[in-house]
Amino acid sequence: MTDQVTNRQLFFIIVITLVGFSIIELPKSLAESSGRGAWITLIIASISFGVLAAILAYLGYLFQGKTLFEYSQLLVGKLLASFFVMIYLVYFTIILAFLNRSAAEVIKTDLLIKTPIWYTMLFMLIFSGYAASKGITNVGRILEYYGVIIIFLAICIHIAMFFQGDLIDIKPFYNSAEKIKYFTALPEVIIAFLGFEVLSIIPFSRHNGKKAVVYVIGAMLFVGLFYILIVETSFMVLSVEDTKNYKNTLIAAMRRVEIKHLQFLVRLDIIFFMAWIFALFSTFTVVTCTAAGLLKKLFPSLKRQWNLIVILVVAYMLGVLPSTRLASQILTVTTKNLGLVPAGVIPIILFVIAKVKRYG
Amino acid sequence: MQMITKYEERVKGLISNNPDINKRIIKGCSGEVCVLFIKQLTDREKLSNHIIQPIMHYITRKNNLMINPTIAMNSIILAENCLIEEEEGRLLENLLEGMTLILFSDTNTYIVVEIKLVASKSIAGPELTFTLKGARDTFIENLDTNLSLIRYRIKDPNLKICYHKVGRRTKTRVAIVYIDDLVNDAVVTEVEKRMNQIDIDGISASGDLEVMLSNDKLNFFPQSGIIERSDVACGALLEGKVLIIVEGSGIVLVVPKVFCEFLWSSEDNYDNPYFGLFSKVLRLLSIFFSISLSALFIIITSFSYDLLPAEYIITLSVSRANVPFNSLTGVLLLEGIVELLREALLRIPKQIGPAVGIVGAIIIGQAAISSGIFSPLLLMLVSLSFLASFVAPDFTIMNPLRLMKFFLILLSGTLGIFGFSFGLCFLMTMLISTNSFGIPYMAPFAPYNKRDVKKIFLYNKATTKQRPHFLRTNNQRRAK
Amino acid sequence: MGNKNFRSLTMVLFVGLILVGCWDSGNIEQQNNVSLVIVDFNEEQYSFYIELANVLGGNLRDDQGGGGYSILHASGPSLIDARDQLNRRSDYPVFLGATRAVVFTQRMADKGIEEYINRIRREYDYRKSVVLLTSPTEPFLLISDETENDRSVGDAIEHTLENQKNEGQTVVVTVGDVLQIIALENVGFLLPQISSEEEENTLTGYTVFKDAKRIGTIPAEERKGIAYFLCSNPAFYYETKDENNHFIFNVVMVKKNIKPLYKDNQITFEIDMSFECELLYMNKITTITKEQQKHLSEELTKMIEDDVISAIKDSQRTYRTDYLGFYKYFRAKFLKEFKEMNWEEKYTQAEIKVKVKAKIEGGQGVDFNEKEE
Repeated sequence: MTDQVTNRQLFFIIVITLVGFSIIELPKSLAESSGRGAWITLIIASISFGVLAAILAYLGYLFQGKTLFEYSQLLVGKLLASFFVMIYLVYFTIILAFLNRSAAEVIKTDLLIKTPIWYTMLFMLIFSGYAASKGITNVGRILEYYGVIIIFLAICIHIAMFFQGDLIDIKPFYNSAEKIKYFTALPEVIIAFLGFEVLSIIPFSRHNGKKAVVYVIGAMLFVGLFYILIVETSFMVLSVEDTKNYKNTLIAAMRRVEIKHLQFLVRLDIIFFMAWIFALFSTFTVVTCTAAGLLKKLFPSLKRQWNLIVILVVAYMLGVLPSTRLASQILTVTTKNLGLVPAGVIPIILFVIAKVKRYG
Repeated sequence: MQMITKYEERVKGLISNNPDINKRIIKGCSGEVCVLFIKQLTDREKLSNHIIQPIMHYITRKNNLMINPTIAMNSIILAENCLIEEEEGRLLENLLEGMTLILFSDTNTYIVVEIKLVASKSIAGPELTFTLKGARDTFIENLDTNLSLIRYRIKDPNLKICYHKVGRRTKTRVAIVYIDDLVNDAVVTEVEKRMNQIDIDGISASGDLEVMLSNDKLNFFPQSGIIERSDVACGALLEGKVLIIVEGSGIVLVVPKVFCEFLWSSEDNYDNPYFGLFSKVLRLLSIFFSISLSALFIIITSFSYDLLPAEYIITLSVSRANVPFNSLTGVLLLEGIVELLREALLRIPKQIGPAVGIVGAIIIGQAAISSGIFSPLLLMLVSLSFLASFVAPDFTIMNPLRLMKFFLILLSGTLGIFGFSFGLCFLMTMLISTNSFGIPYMAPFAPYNKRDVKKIFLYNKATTKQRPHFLRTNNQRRAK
Repeated sequence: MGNKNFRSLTMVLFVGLILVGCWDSGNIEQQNNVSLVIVDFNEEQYSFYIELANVLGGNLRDDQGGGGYSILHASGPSLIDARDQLNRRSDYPVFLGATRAVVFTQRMADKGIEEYINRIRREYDYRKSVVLLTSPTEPFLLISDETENDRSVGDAIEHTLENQKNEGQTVVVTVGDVLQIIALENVGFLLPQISSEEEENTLTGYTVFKDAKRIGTIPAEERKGIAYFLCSNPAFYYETKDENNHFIFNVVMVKKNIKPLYKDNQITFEIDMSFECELLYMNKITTITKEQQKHLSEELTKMIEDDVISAIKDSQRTYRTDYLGFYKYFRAKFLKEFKEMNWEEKYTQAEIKVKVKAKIEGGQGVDFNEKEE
């Protein structure tokens, strides 16, 4: 089966990959950096990253049936293309390792207090690896299916939080004295908008067409709006000042909500945790699949299963060995410093070269 | 005479190994006619009246004239299906298939006449699926009768029947039935390809063939459905599906079959679409409950106690106060007992079935609660889960789901809601990555098709003018 | 072949994982489910009095006598030591996820509740939607109140508060609310107060907190003004009299508008409140003229205004802390100024203008309109 996805699947791949993990700590980062104007920061970020995602999608549209490795070879030659793919591979492997670690830390704090982290990490990697072994087409279908469920559950939870919280806690919506802050807070939200680089491994077909670019931009804007809903409802429940005191802010906010009329669904924990774990699973599956796909480009003779095993073993060792503080630092450094290279720098270089060489 | 003698020598060899091959020699002035047959497979009344008697009359009337195969076939034998055969090698094969052979003393050719009579039951009512408005005639073990049930409903010249023989020893006849201008050609090609790849001693029922036709022999989920009723089979043909009818089996296979189709009943089509929608949603929810209720119970009682409101926590604690087992052990034990009961009830004779059901279900259940081994809530949840597992009209989907239930129970017992959620993810991954003869198993949900999803729930033959898109049939339109 | 090996490897790994797990597995019936926590500070010792549901060995509704709940007490020189003693005294782990209410004694409230509130923040299973109260009554007296149907005291307290909240007469404060306020500094808050009166636990007013320490108590009779600011849909009964009759009204607030102004370093609040007053009954059934209606309306307006102004005065002058939530309105409009100022100081100097409008509506079956002749 050729690795193809529909535009709708593309939308969900991007949305769920972005949303999967970063939502837990996003309200805290924004409360500290941009305060009540967080929605403005998010809109700016979603537009900016939307443009970058559109560039990557446009390259996919220009070079139909080819992934980043293939069209880079046409544009910059094999050596440089391999170098680019190496960067993407290292990036995705580190992201997989440390997102896995961070998720395991959250699970240890809030769900499975005594279960060791190595166990949770291994468990998540095995399941994600199994799903990733099915290929990008099936991964696209999985995310298309789960995406609807996750978004629906998330919207239900946040509507409940909206009605439980106080709108006055998030006012004023705009404060002219703080407008610089809205821009200086952008580095804090980079991690929340990284993930669309998975497009590097998805070949577009003629069925995707130019509409794929529209879907990708739509996905980024949707993610921005989704984050606004999450962040603002968290602020309404926790208040901006108290949000800064929690690490896993979204979970703290969710646990404050009780809807007395719903009988045994008074507490939203079960819905939230199921939706979040589905999102985690989806994110790890996509990232694993992408990393394995990139490895296959570099080492085509390796079978798909063994690609996966190598990625999973490396990601597991990288994730489990460092201490919590070091792991968190590595993740922050990777995303803030390295993240823009595969997300922005490389696609822009390729886009410019493609235009200069008059492709499309 | 020499020819017959030569044949007789070979046949004698056969008869000595197979005493049930019979011969009847009719002598005339200028030659002999030898009739060979297996009496268990031959309609002896027709043999006497339509073959032996006419031959004897002919020989008597035309004393001097040589009887030959052409004359015999055209003017003497009173059977609708007969042909002249020359191949010596097929002699034994024809005999073993139940054909009657007429050999002539002066020629190599012989006549093969079909006057088979195999004992089989008559068409009866459905046992696997209940119907109020649908037809009640079901398939039986005779292939021709089954084909006749389809032929009398579908009078389309495009209805094609392709015969195959499966099994080196059994040479079981298998008919592949489809409507040529509707069906997805890729599916037909795939079915035929897989059929041709089967190399086995023999098959005895459609169940054997079902396993051999699947993508991967270790595949978890069934890729073909089973049909008992002829109206349902015709409905499937009109949807562009392929039927596989096996001689000797009253169950017909239908391909391709996607996951949600296992949950749809033909009764949904005969009812008002809103009630059909209600039934479909109820079945989907029941499937979810049947696999997850026990696991959710373990999560709440062993891991995340505060998922429930405070009043429920205390009530739940009280209900489990004197239970000696932890919830994982209790659930596994009780589910094991329920599975035992299910297996026992399947095999038990009808006369004592109800009594055993009462003993098993009511008395054991009551005793278990009174003795404090299980909590009443657990018993109720497991019973509900057991009942919910019977909602699927095509129950073959429930067998793998029952196994998945135990898998989810183990995961929940190990890692609580985290394990349960990942278990569900694993289940969905398996479902989504499976395909049935090239059609994605979770269609139309994954890959998503809005029109198909809408039509599949709010289905009404009057308003749903197009066939489901995911079947990729040659002709999508049902009605104008 | 590769496929088979991969599958086998996955199966072995998976089965191994399943068999190794279960670290967090427990049993819900083998937990001490806490329904009420009373925190006291007496003679330099912190004490916990917790009400536990008796699960094992009996029914909660035990007709044989003895409640389905028992009390466990532990103390220590610090909260950690007190909890340590509690753990050493309980046969099963203490589970706080079913806690209905947390009550601070007056002594504890005087000492300060911030440390305990931060403990609740950190405790994983302690829900932040637990209600908080204070009580001047001794803990054992509070817990010994036997409710009629043998319910837990914690349950009874929570339901009393909920009932009052639904009636619009009491503000319910949860741990989450207090955490939000503590994060701000310079803002006070109120906690409902419960006392044992005639052997019944009764809501007797509010305790005022500043810097998370008790600074005073507002009796229940003076709670109307507070409710108008802090409750959603507050509603109270008012009684007015004239020479021959007295009238009972159900007064419901239908609109509240608080507009903050800030000019020349002076904070002003313009409060506009509208009430609908439904005549429930009169002492003697009579026709009320339009003039009488106007008079009653004016009287009601004055009564309500007095309640509101009295609440504001207490907050600004008596207790000198903003527990009525004015800071939210000011912050919503003047965020920068709010962050730069000392709110507590500025609030006490703020000018608050109150405009109350009370409109009388006819009740069900009570027609007081003067008939046209």
